[in-house]
Amino acid sequence: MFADHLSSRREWLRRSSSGFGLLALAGLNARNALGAAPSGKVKTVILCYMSGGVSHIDSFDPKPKLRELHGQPMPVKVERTQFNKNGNVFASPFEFRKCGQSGLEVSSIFPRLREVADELTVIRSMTTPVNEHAQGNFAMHSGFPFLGYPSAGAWISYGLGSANDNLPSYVVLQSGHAVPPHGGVGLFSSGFLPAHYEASILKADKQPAVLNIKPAQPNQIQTQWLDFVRRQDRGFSNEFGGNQKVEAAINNYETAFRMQSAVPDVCDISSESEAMRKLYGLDDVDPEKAAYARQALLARRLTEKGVRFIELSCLTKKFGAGGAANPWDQHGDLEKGHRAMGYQVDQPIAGLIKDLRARGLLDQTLIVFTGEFGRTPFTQGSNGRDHNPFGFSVWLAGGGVKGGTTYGATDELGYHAVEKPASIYDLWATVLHQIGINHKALTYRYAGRDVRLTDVHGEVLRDILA
Amino acid sequence: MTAPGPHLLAANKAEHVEFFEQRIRPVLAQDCYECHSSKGGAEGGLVLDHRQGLLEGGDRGPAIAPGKPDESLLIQAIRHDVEDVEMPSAAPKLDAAIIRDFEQWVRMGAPDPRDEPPTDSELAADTEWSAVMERRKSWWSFQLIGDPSPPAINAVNHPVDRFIRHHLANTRLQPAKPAKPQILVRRLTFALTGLPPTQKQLHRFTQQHGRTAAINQLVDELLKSPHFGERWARHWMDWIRYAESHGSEGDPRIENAHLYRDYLIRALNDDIPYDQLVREHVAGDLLAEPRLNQELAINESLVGTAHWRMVFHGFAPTDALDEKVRFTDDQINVFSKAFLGLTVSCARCHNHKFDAISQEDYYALFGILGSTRPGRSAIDLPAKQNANMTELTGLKQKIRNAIANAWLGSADDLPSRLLNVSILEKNPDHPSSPMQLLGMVKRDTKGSGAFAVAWQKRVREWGAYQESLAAYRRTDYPVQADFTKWFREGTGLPTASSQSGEFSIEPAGDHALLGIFPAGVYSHLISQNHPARLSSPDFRLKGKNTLWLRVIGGGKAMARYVVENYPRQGTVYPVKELGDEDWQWMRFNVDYWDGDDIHIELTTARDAPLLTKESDQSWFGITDAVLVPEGAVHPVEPRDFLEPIFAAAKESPPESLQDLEAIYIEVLKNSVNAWKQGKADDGMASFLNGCLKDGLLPNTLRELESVKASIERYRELENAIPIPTRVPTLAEWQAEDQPLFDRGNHKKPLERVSRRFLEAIDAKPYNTKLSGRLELAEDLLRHDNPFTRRVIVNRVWHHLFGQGIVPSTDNFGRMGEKPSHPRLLDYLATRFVEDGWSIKKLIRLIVTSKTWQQDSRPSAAARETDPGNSLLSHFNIQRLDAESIRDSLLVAADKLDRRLYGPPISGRINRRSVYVQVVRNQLDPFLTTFDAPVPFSTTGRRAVTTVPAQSLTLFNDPFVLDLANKVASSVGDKDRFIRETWRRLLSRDPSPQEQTQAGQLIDSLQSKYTELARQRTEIQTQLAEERREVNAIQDRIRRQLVKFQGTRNEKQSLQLKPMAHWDFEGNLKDSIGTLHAEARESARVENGALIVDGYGWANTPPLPKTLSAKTLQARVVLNDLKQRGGGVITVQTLDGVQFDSIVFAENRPKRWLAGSDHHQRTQRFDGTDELEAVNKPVAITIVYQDDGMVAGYRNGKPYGNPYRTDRQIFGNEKTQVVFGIRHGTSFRRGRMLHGRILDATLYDRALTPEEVLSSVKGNNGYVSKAMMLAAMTPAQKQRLEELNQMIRSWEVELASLGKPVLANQAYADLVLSIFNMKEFIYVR
Repeated sequence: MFADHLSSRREWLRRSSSGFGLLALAGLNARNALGAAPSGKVKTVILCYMSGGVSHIDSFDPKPKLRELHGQPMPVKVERTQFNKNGNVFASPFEFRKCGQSGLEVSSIFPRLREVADELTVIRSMTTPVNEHAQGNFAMHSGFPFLGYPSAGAWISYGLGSANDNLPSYVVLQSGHAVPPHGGVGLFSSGFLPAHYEASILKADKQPAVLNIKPAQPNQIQTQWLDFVRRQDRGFSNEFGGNQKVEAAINNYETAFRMQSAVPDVCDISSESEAMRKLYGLDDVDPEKAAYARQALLARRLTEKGVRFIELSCLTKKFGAGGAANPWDQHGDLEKGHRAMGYQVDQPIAGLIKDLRARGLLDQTLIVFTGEFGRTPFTQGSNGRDHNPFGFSVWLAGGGVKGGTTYGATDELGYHAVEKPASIYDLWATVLHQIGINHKALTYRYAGRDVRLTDVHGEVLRDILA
Repeated sequence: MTAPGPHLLAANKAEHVEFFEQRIRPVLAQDCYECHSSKGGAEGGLVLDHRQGLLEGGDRGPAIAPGKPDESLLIQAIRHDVEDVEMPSAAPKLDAAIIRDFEQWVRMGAPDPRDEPPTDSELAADTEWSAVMERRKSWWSFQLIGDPSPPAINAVNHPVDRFIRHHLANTRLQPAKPAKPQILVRRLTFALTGLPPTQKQLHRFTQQHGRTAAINQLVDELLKSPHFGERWARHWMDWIRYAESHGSEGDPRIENAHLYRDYLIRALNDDIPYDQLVREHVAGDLLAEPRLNQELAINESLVGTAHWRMVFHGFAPTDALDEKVRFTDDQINVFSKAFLGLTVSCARCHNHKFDAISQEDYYALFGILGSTRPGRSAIDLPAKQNANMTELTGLKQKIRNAIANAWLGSADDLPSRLLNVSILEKNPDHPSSPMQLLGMVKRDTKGSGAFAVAWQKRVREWGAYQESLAAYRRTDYPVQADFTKWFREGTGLPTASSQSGEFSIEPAGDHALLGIFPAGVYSHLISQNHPARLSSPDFRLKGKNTLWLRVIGGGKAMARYVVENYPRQGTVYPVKELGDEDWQWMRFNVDYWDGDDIHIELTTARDAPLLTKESDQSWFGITDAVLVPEGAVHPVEPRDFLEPIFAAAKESPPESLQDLEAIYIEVLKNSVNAWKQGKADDGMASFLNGCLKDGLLPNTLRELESVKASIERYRELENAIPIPTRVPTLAEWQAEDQPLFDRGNHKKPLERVSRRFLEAIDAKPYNTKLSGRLELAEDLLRHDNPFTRRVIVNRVWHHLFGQGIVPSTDNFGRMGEKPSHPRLLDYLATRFVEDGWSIKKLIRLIVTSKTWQQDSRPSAAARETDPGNSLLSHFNIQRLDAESIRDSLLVAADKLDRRLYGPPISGRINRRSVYVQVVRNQLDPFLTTFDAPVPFSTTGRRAVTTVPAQSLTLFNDPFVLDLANKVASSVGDKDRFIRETWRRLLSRDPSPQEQTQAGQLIDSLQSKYTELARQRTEIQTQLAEERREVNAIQDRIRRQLVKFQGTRNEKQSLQLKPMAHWDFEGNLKDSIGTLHAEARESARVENGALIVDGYGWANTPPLPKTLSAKTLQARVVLNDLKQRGGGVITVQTLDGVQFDSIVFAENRPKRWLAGSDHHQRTQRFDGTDELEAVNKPVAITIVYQDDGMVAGYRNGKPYGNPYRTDRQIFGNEKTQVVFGIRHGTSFRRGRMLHGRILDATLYDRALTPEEVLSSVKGNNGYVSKAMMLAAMTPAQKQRLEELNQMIRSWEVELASLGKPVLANQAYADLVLSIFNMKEFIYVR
């Protein structure tokens, strides 16, 4: 009876969830399991997460009909909203313009993104199953609206493996007073995937940038006692015939030791030129924009170092209900709030796209811009908008997407996705496709089934691929 | 069509067909048809439900080559030989035996009688659930537990060893030797208590003769240790995803979750039988004979249910049913994995993909949990909860009599009281109390005269009110409260509703009665200490409705409606607090929830299921609740307090005010009499209550002299009722079977499924009016349920060996792994029950085996043939879990606080890790880094990962470094230190080689530190020199500039005869007297200024004279304008307590202030915001006159407005001057100035405004950097640049040398290296 569960060393390794990422790739085919990066173009995904929920009808999905109906009651059934303070139709206070060669329409809150409109593919028919921040954030990050599942960043670094042993493969950037979105750091969790794939939060403008990264001791002291430890451990490991887990743990300090200098190095932007600082808006008078710009610039530096997944965090301007965890959440004061938030991220993200393009990195980098949901076409109170999970816009740039196009559509009010509705699973299936992984093959056996980022759903949005 | 080949013709023999029918067809039907059938879709173009389909194959060609298994794609696919065609898809590989059957079948020529694609009914027969389930039930874990006896092995006695050796004997592997004593003792203490051995245990164990006796003794000791429960409770907490908050936005705390953790610790320490704990977990609130803890005076069984509540809750979901489905799924998922090792949750949308679990099974369990609500219960023993109840009830009756008598006795006073009472507030149109009616009639009579007119007006009004009341009563509402059908929890709520005239006594204060009430439900009739939760049955909302509740309450009691059992508050989930107000019709618009099930809930402050409030005394009452559809008649505010008056007036209509007053007096007497006899109706009760409020009835203890003693006694008894301890639990209410949701879609309910257990074990519906949890608990424990026992013994085995007999501890289904030693597993499960379900006995049995005590070094053969050590030819080396790593660090430093139990703590507190808070959105970073689980689902087997964050934590985390320093805090002899540290941290002596090498490490580190210190000194000397040169250059320039401008007008100010003056030209000397200051910490003089950077300050010796009137003056440049509260120059008592000071931006940003001790003399000048002091110096002067006038000046001009305040006299030799700190004698963040003080002057008199102006006239001698730079020669500039560059590079170098270290740093580093050694965090 032992034959079938002791069949081979390989079988045993497949089963053990020991933290060996490559060995744990039970569901991936052998090609990937051997460690070579998959054949996709994209090596890095950058998630510009617009926590709180960007209003699609004020940014990337113009709705002239709203102008016509402005101030009138909604002509269709109004679904339940989270605050239940629903008012009348609320036309966008912002002007839209056709941009670039493609004529992609972008609102006036993103003047710099207009300059790179030909790089953007706007999915105008995104939907999400939940209507609340924390659950929405979990859904957008992991495909499941609650804590415990691996974040897309974890899946992607699990799928791609690491290209730089001295840096974490999944990084969440924060600067200034940015905090994790509602739901907390669990949003960046590796869930049941090995902890190796969990995000490291990197403070772009603070010391230490990563928890415990700052060496407590001078280099020469640390190396001295580490040598001693290594000798001891070598002996310990040998006693057990080179137990694989112990060996891995020993090798681990090398990595940790190198990380201590690699992280500060990548965070040190003193060598960046004045032109770069200008491009990103690093010295802007708006401190939140300057802080966001620093994240964007670091995102590029991390991309160059082979980090697999980078998430940027917005900073609150305290408009509407937009607090530290949900800066875009303008239940009131939408116009001021969205203008201020647009100002914060517009130049840094546009700068990032231009910079990557200039360096020839845009093709291998996929930028994803999304919040957890959109906002209602009618007011909340007098001048805000409530959450709208039924249809909203996200965009992709770089990494083999068409650029200058839109996909799907909401109804004429911008309320529900009516044409080619897309799900979060479709979004991630597409992203995985671009990094060369079939989303159905990227699985991990947990709780008796082979779980995927895309659950049992997901269709690659082939129409948007170049 | 292809002609059948010769193989096929030859093959269709009867026995071959039988082989197909028995061995092949069921597998095809179960594992393949879902994707490959004529009806269910033909993935890859392939159908496998008839012969032709197999032969023709799909996109990749024929599926079989009859006679040639190796060439058959089907065989290759099920063998997993071909990449990307590993079948069945997303499922475990088929058993080797099945694969062999298929090979044999193909070799036979693939006999297959299925000529045609099956008809629907044929397909259904093949794939029908009952057939599928029967086949699936053949999986090993569904088989009944046998009672195998241990195989006989020569000279091996222990049953565990006999099973293990029996398997080993079939291989060429030999069991490993026994582990060395010092290894075994460490293994034992960690396994049983999660802690390293004490020195005493280590010494005794290793010295004792007789290994077996020593082991037995230590095992006994450890099993008795209170730390045993802590260790094993933490394992248990993993099984049920223990958490102390619900997650999501807001992450609300699960109040008193920790009592459940403490319950586990106690239960495990007391070795409460596992079956009992299972009952308590499932239905501890329902047990006929709960387990009572007399010592703590609590019901232990009830606490066990708290785990049901550790679910994740979303924030204010707009789809409440979805949320209910989700958190119920959370409960089912964790429950079924933890206790059954089955993934029942996988059957939510369809029958389980692999196991004998149907979708109906899922909804049967859903019905059980869906028939409960989130609840909260007091766990105190009934005697405690009902303390003094009988006496209080009796006393209350006595008080009623006495008060009624007192009122009747004072009836003679009523006429005068009626006159005195003035109750006509705000000129009301409608009476809101009995006396207001009288007041209004009086008012109306006073004006235009006739009583009759005034009275008739009120009679008409009463008539109108009666009509609207009747209209309300006539209306048939969709929901109207019938309190006999409501659910009552808590001592505060008697089973029957109260009759009219019930009353309650004020628990404290001057008033005797709190109120007299109409018929209804009340929580506080005996005491406001009593807990209470009242809830209605569920009702479904249709259309637009308003919910009306007629309620009263206080002490933060709450009323709300609950949608689909969602227990949190949120935007569309309002909760209203009952303030200490009068009766009200509380309204909730519930249009939003059209289509959902809701119920009404009233709770006292601490008894809400989730969001409790801080208030020990709390109460509520309710008389009515009604759901009013849009447009329907709504309730009217009752005026029943007037009913007795109008009833009496009807009998004999009043003709004058006197008549009306007489009616009042008569009605009052009648009502009191009726009340005394318990016969008051609602009108009378409300009337009396109104009179009580209006002051018509005496209600103060002073007025009720005869009742005072009884009231006081009542209060004494009431105060003695303990405040109950509550835990989160489930509440029973109306039991209801759950409709099955079509494909899991909660918007598509289908037929209801009876509440019952899994059909694979027993499909009989539960016959109960309750949820069925009691039955469920018993089904878990029944003898023909093989899961519960196997799962728990396997869990214990897993935690002892680091690997279960079934490695997948939480999944005994087909996607899990099979047992390595199935007979041993069954033996243990059987023995476990025989041993009274004792976890301690099970642990003792296992750890006393030779198998458990083996050495952990694998032989070469074992490494080769059994790398996973399934056969246990040796022990498994294991990394400590997160908690043990943290606890070991604390033990190493001798800092572990070993107290048990209590509220959660921060991870920085020195208590055991089991007590560290588990807050979902803020999990402890240390524990998380070392793989403590995210509280999400059952984690029977933790991941053991290796991530850089672990090394970084052990390298650099201040918590770890601090503990390393503590170990090295007292070092005597080096060799001894090494030896003792080895013993303490690694439970063994160092080898001679280690002893030497550790000594060398210390020596070498020490010399490195000496060298570093030397380098540091050298660099600092260099730095000082270069800084001096910089200063010199700058000084020269500055002096030139000052001279050139010729305006540093010190003479002029000196003519004003200051008491002391500091120009900070190269030193801190007083240029007039003897008050030479001294720099503290980082303060220093540079470039003619005192530099204070927020850490340093300066102070003078005591003043040689008394100061009354005075003037403080200083010129200052600030580093920034954001700083707050720093002092420029201060006169203070030597202890730094009393002071007067020039302060910047203390209570308002950017404003100058005359600071004083506790703001005693401080008022605002209300001057302008300081905007310049960063760019150029400003001179601030504060003049204190003898008469208390205080005036501020900025650059010689008045700053805001002077004010008069108290005068402070500073005594001779008791006073000093300080600079750069608001006041005080040591560094205090928040008082420190960040800037440069260019000069400062103290006058022992009040300067006149003219003098102030003249003192600051002219240039103040300040030279800016830009001015200086402009005045330099190119050579000077170049030199300065060079110097600054050198300074910067020295500073970088200096930083790389680290900070100065403790004397014992090298020893602390040795300790740190041991913390980082694998031996420290592994047990072997």
